Amino acid sequence: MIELIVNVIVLVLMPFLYVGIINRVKSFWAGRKGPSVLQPFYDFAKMMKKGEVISTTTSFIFRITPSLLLASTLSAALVTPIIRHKSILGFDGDFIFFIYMLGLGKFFSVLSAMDTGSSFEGMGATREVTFSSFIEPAFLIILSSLCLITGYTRFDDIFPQLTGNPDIVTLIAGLSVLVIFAMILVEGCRVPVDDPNTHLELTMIHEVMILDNSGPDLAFIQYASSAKMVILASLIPNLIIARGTSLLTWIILYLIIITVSAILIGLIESLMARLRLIHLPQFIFLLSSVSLVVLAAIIVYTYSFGGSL
Amino acid sequence: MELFLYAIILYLFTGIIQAFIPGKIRSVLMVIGAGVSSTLLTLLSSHVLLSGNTKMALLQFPFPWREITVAIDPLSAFFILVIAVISFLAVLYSIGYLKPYYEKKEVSGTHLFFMNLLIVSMLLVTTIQNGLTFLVVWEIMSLSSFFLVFFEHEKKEVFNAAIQYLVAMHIGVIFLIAAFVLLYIHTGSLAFSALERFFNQNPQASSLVFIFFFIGFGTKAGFIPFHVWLPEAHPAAPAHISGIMSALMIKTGIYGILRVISFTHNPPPGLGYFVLGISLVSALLGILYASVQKDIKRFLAYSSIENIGIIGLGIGTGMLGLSFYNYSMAFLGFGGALFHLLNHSIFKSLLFFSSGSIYAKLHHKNMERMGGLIHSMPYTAVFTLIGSAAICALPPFNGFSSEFLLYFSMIKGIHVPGALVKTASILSIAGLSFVGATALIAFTRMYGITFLGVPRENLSIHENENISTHNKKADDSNKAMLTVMGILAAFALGLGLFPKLGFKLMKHPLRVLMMYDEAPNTPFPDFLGKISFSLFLFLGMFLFFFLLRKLILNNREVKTYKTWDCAYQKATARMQYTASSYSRIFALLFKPFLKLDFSIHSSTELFPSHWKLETHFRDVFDRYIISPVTHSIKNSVKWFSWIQRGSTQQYILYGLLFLLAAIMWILGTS
Repeated sequence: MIELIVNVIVLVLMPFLYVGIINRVKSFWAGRKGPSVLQPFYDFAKMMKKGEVISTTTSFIFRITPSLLLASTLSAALVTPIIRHKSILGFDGDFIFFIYMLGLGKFFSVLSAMDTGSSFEGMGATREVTFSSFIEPAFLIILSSLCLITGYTRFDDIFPQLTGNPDIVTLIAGLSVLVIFAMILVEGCRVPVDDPNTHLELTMIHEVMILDNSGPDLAFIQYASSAKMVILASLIPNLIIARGTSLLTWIILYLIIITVSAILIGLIESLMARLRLIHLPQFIFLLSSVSLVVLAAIIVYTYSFGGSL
Repeated sequence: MELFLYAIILYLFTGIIQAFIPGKIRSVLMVIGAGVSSTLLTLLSSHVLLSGNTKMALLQFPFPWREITVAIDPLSAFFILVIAVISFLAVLYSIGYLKPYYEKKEVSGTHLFFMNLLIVSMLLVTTIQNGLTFLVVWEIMSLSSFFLVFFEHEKKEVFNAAIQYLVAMHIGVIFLIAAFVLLYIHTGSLAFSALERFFNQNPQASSLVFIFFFIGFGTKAGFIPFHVWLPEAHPAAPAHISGIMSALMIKTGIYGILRVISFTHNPPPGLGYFVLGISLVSALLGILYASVQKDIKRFLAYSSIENIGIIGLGIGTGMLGLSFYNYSMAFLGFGGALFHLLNHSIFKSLLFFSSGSIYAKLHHKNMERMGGLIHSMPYTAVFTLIGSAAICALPPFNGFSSEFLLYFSMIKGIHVPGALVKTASILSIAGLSFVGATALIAFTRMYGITFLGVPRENLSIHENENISTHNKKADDSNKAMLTVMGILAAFALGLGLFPKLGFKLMKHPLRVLMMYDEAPNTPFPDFLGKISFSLFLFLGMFLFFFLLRKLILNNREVKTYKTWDCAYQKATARMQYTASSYSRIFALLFKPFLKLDFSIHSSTELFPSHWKLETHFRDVFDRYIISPVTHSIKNSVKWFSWIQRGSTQQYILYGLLFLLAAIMWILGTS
């Protein structure tokens, strides 16, 4: 019960902090004084107080999308394990529900971009759907490989089985962390996939899709996209922290790992430029190959060493 | 059982009678006939589905039929239910769709007659158990649909498509005949039920027969590489017919495959991998080709191939489950396949009907010339949105519930001992998710280009109409069409929110497929309830946030202004993103599978004012496999043209020679 309450608190607050930390790291690296870690929260509060400007071209889709995006992201969060491998609402096969809920949000945000009739937003829409289409299979290969080795079919059963086991399982968990981290970069639209700070519409992916959103709508969308990063990042501590760790240690370790992942993203954004669009597929194919390596490793492990958990 | 015959007779009767009745009563008669017989069939089939009892009748006919067994077991009943409901809606839709044609008196009685004949033959295909009669009914189905595709026969592309369809169907029938002949040679019977003995006694020969059946039925269903007719015939037919064909007729191919499987206790794993492989290829390539089409109905046709592939994935997983004695895998695999079949019938007919509504309004099917339809056709737009989300398997719509079952059957496959089946299951999961992601590209493209933005039509190059100042007058389709689409959309949402209800229908058909007779201690998937709970939670959150937003914005200033145009003041409708550019990045990644034809019609004037550029993506199968083969066949048959000179005397001579040879053969053998 306590875990569930902590989960809800983390889910509500962490999205603000996560982006805040990334931005703070970037400013620190660049030698700027930089915004406070809480700046995303102030932005959110301010946007919630404003009115809106809505394009005359748009239809009801543009109006429902922000709320729908937020609801679908939070529904995905319901099945995500956060503290002590526990999710709020786990069921068998919940990782498929997770992926398809994120897909629903994508479907509507893409349509909302097309709704404005702007060619910039169309461009962003096609990039978003094209590049993320290679991520879902990679994620599902990883998850079903983990299913294979643990014998379970839901997030909060799979993850506790992985920790404190033989070396090869640790290796597999490590590779999975790599894929999930890269997934945050793609789904969260961070460098090297997309640069949230770019100011040329032609080069954007995510930002260009929400050019016409303003006020509370924009607040919803921003919150949903940082929540998406947080729920993906939450999978990492669940792959690493051992089963049976006490609640307090869990929370501290969780916060440390999440913060480290945010700092890493900030460092990557400070040190790298975004990839050229034509090189993006190579980056994303790399993820699928890593996930296939995981699959192969697990099959070999299960059969050559007779291992299972 | 009598109900079934009454329903069939009523369909045929109204089909014939309507040709002699003028005016409005004709369409009323069609709807009443279809309505009454559909009600009868729904009652009958739901009785069989819920009780699980098979209804049988033995009909006596003169030679060569003698006895015909008509049996409605739960598997047939499931198909009858789908056919009854969707075909009634299609008939109702056709009244609205054909209204302008009625007014111009262009609807011939034969068209409506063949529509009823097609429905009747589909019903018979799913019930008849004797091989010979089955083939006859199968042929009636192919021919009646051929005449329906022929509706606008004055157009050349329609004519070609119909001929191509006819040829493809007969190539399929050759395989079916071969399969039945092999069955007869080995067992001495043409009935489907002989398959059971055959599969037990002779696994090797029966595998060959299974593959023949698969190719024969798969041609109808549209598995790649037997799909070539499908993207031609569907766009050529009028919308209500493409709806029936895509939602129901290609499913009779699936019925055939399932009927054959229902007689196998444990098929060899090789067959399971074969079905799984072909289905995966169909699903992947089907949606890949769909994502580059410009013709909206062609696009939907390719997406049907994709969905047949997805259904096939379920069948393949189910067969592997049977092979490895993992019944929960088989249960979920076949269950997912049947459920997806039901769902596909719902949302694909919905999408074909909405493409028909668009065609009725704009008189063309080219997506590149559409745009902004959401403002002029608000209801159609909402229903199409639901259909598109459902076909992308997005929650909370029905596509999600069936694909979830499929995923889950594959997850069960992961836990089956055996490296190959594990790898195959995981790759199918990855494949299915990639198909889903590509479907998302394809359907956001279709919806975004046709319904959203502003109309691209009727705009000359020099017209500088601002994209924000277009006319937004609503002018939707007529009531009959909207009602049908609304009902289908409600089905899509209902089955998505309450997957358990839909899955109840699958219980007894699955018993037939998996051949267990005792009271089913089935691994009834308990996660379905949890899914509906989460979906309601999602809907609750969505409503909450939406109302919150409304409340917040209530007293605030909400301005409307034109779309951000990067400070360029003269953005026109022609500057919107196009369907070709939308799929371009994706298509470039899959170059080997998509052949881009590129032709420039340049002008040779000194000061050229008009150049024309045409780009088309071609189906590589059509281009590099089917076309060369048909071409070489066409060339080689020229050598035999001397046989067919057209002179009657010669033909009589052939007949006499044949008779002579036959008599000698009989004398020689006796």
